[in-house]
Amino acid sequence: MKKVLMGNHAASWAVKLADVKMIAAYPITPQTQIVEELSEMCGSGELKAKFLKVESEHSAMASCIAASSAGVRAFTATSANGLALMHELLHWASGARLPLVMVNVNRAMAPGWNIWADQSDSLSQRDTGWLQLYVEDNQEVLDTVLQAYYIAEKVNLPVMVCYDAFFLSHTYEAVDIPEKQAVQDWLPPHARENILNTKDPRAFNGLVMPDVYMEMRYKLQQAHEEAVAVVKEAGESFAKAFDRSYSTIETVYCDDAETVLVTSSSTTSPARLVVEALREKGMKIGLMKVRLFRPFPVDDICQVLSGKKKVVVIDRNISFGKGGIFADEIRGAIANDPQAPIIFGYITGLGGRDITPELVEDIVMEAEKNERPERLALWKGLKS
Amino acid sequence: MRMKASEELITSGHLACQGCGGTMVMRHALRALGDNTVVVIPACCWTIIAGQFPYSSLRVPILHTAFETAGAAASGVRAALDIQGKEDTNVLAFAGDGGTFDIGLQSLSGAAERNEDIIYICYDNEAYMNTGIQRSSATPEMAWTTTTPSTRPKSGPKKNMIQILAAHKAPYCATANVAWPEDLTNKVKKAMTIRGTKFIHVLSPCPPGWKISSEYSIEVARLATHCNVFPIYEVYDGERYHINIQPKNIPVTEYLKAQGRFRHLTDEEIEHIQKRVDYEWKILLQREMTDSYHMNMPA
Amino acid sequence: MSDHKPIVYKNCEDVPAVVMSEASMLWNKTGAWRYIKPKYCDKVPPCNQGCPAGNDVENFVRLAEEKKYKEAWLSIKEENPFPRVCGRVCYYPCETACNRGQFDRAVSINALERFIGDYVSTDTKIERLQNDSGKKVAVVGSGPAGLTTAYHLARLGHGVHVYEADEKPGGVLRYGIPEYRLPKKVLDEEIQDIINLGVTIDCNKKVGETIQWEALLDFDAVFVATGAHKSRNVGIENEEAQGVMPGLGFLKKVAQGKKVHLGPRTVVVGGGNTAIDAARTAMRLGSQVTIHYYRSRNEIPAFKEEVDEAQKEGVHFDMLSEPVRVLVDGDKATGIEMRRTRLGDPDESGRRRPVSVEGSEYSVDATTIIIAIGEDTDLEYLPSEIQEERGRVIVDAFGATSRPGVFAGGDMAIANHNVAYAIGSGKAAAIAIDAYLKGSHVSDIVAQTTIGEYGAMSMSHYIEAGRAHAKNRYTKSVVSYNDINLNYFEEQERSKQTKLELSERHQNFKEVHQGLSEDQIQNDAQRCFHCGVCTMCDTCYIYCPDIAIEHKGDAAWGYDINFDYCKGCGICVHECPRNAMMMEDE
Repeated sequence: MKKVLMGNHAASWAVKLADVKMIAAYPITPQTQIVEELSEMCGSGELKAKFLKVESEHSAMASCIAASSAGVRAFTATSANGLALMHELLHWASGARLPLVMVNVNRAMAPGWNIWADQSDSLSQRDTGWLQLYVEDNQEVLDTVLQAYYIAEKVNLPVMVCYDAFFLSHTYEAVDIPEKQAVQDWLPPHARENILNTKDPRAFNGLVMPDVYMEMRYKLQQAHEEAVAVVKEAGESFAKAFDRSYSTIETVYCDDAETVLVTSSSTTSPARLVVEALREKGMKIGLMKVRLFRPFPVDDICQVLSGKKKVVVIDRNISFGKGGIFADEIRGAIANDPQAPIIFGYITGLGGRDITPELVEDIVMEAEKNERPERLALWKGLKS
Repeated sequence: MRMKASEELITSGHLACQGCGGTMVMRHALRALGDNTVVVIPACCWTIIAGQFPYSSLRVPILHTAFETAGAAASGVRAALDIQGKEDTNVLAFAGDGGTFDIGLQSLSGAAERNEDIIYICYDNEAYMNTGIQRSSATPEMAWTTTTPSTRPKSGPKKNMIQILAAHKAPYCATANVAWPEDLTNKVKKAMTIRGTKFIHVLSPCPPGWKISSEYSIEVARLATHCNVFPIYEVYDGERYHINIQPKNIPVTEYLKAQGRFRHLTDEEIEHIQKRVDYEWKILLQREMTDSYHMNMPA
Repeated sequence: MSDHKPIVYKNCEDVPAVVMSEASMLWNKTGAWRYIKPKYCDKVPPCNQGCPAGNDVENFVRLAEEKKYKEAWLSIKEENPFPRVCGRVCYYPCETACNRGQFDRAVSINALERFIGDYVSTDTKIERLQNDSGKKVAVVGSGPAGLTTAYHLARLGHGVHVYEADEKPGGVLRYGIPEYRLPKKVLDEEIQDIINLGVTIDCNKKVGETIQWEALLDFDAVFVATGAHKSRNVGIENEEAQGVMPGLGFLKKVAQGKKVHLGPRTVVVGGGNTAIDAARTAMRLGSQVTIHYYRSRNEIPAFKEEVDEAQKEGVHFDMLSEPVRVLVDGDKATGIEMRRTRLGDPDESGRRRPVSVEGSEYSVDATTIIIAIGEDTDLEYLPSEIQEERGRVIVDAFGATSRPGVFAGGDMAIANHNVAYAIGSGKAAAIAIDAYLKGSHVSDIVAQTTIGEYGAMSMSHYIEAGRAHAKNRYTKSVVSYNDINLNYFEEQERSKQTKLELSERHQNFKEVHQGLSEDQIQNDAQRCFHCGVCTMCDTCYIYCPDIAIEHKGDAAWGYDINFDYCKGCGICVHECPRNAMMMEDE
């Protein structure tokens, strides 16, 4: 069934299809419509779930952690400051090895107040142990939220699905909504061991002494490393079931490309146009969309980029004092490759500024012109 | 009610200090609650008392959770149990005064406002004891702590948590005291029969933090009530007050002199505390007298 | 789940990924934190120490509280053959000692004892404790001391032959204490319990007259307790006149049912119990009675309650007056000349000494004059090898005289002339005689049988002396009022005995004290602090933060402390309402 849905409602539909049992929510623009829609769904009874209207994002995450600990599929959604408020608990969710799923609609951090697209909020949570997936369009929103539960419950790690404010959240697109039965056939029912159970009473998340803490952290890292394959497997099996395929990254014209443009989220869409146009002009350029940010798919990325002349990374985010975070991650991933390309890291589109095809082309052409980047963090689109 | 140690839901071998009041609160609460109970514990002494991984000193499931989240986490457990058809399982949030009066106040308020069907017990030892006796908003006026030295003791009175919960119209609020275990277990039993958020505030002596010898734990707690420092009462629906233990109206100095944390007090300061205690007690008596038993809310 | 061993993860693979408990904390033996430890140890309640008869007062009060009246009765009977007698005539030093007296009012122990005795005794038999030893003991005198010794020795398996000079057994209980205080029926029934044990009571046998001393030496041991019944003379003019009689003699005649003609006005001289008993008896026989005593009301040695009752019944008191001479008409007394006294400095007893006021003589008309200023012993029948001093046989704490095998007790051997002391001395002698007959020495058992500091003996401790658990008992440490944790007690009114209406006390000897009802008994039994004795109130158990105190089991008494986990916080000991625990060093 196809429906024209805003990105946020695509997320709500996915939550309903995943048969989530507990939703905790606190309003923040631009996420709010996700939980509004879920509230309607719970109210009408089409989704049989507990809907907890908590008093903060912090409590939203705390109650999702608790509900998940008690053995049910839980969901919440947030943005920017809400996500930052959750920070402590993001560690709890991953450390407790809970298969939570959260949508973060990427929004700029205050101050000053800015409700528009910017990935700095979720990328600031890079080290919390969550899986992070950055998606490009509304269909991918729905599909990825479903896959997020699939992945989370296989690796016992929480998954954050991120997409850009307004460009996706409030933009209507035609979305193919899978049949409920098909989803149930594909996504196994939620059944976990190690939950709060009065018949087998255990204590969770207690004090861990130095003699085993490190081993437990090691296991968390191991789970992340294994999750790369699980993400791919989820994409493949999803493709079999629903005819839409996903992986850790997506490449366009990369095989023979000398320059590869790297994007994430909605920035990929204008980049696709630019790469098509430049290919037509005869430029050997390819495009790599990074979908999985955590765990970082190092092998997949290196395989694509090794031996290329130049890599141009567009970041709608910044790690102050360093630069674009995707660019930095790629540099780190490929550093030990003897055929590592020159990497140009561009920062642009912060706080919801449009990233137009013209801007993307401008960036590509500038990188093409220069042998090496003048500095680590190149800014594009600043007022001149 | 006599139980074998093997039938108690708390085991020996736990990591509480000698004479710990908070441990007794857990024991008495679980005696009432029984094994169909999930306990949510935010950061507090009980984080330690429950034992380190891979052990537990309780025979009921525990969810250890972040400091400020007892109310929210208990709500989450409640929701998950309910949707699984386990409405009969008790959810006990068990937090210290720091996790209740200070950092956890917001999530407790949220839970109480939503009237989540949980029992929230605050075992109040009147400071951050686990971190080494720092003042909280439950610390009594003029007490010494490691952040309120006796040269500059804690200013201002202890926060009145029951009033805060009563203002939420929580269906059942009560104070209790480890010196009256039966009163405490009865209150927990009563709480189990009431739907919604039940808040029980239990005075829990801390021998190292109060600077008392461990054997005086109960005696000092008892004095707190008999000196009207910590009255024992219930509030139904945020309105109807009922005092459960008639105090002996012992001068407050008896209570203060028994504890090292008040050793620095001058006679004038004790007099000041006495006046405050007398005043608060009068207010409580008035509340009990003017309760709105006959003023039922329109349906 | 292995609860008692710590879990060890051998390698990284072993370590779980989830922070989830796999076992309890029971492996963690927190007892290692302890440097001082609690201990259950029963101590001596002050009532037990205060009872000269050595009753386990606390025990029978507790049993009564549990409505186990038969067990309570057996508990008393273990120590004392006369619960019904004592429940009526004892002046209850136990109640004076009772810690509750400092809190509100003492527990009505005396009335409790009476209730228990009256409730149970007629249909329950006392058993012998030990089989026939083949030994024979002679007891001289069947007053409270002699009968007590006979009773205990019979229970301990010895043959006992009691010689009594009067026609009926009981001594002062029968002939000294009037019927309105101690009905003869009650006395007879309690004596019957003793006879039922196989004790022979041989009446109308007076040593030195109807039986010779030497005959007694054929027995394996001899106990003498012939009391003090020789009334003292004042030593005044005309004391031998007709109408002047000794107090004890008067009481005995009444008890024997003999007709005594008093006339309309009786004067009683003296302030002891005999004087009061005589006055109240005379009053019941229809005479107007005045008691003359040479000190004031404050110094009067008789039990205060008896004095009060006498006054209520219409007996007049003329205090600070001493007799000068009996006034006679021929050989018949017509009155007595008295003289005022005043109180001087205290004497060795601490009471203020009366000093005669010269020239204050006055006359009192009287048809009968009863002299009741004290009684002395009659030791003439004893051989010289038995040493005496100031009219009393010299004995040790167990009644042993200077002659091996001969023991003495009661008023003839001890300073305190009252029933409870006599019973206590009889029991001490029984213990000593039993030890003597078995060839052991009492010094070996004195520590375990002596309760508290005042010398009362416990038969149950003596019997149990060889048992292991008895060794943990503290027989000396007496619980004081300050040792009681008053937080556990509320003020509660003491039960009050009803008494015979004053209007019904004339021309009859109906019992004055009516005893307590069962409800009243329950009220008072519940008031008992149970000083120093564990009642399994669960205070220690419920407050233990370490769940280290557990009941021994459904049927068993007491608690076990699990020292694997007890951290030695001391709350159990500090909170114990009745000081039945203590801390000791590791």
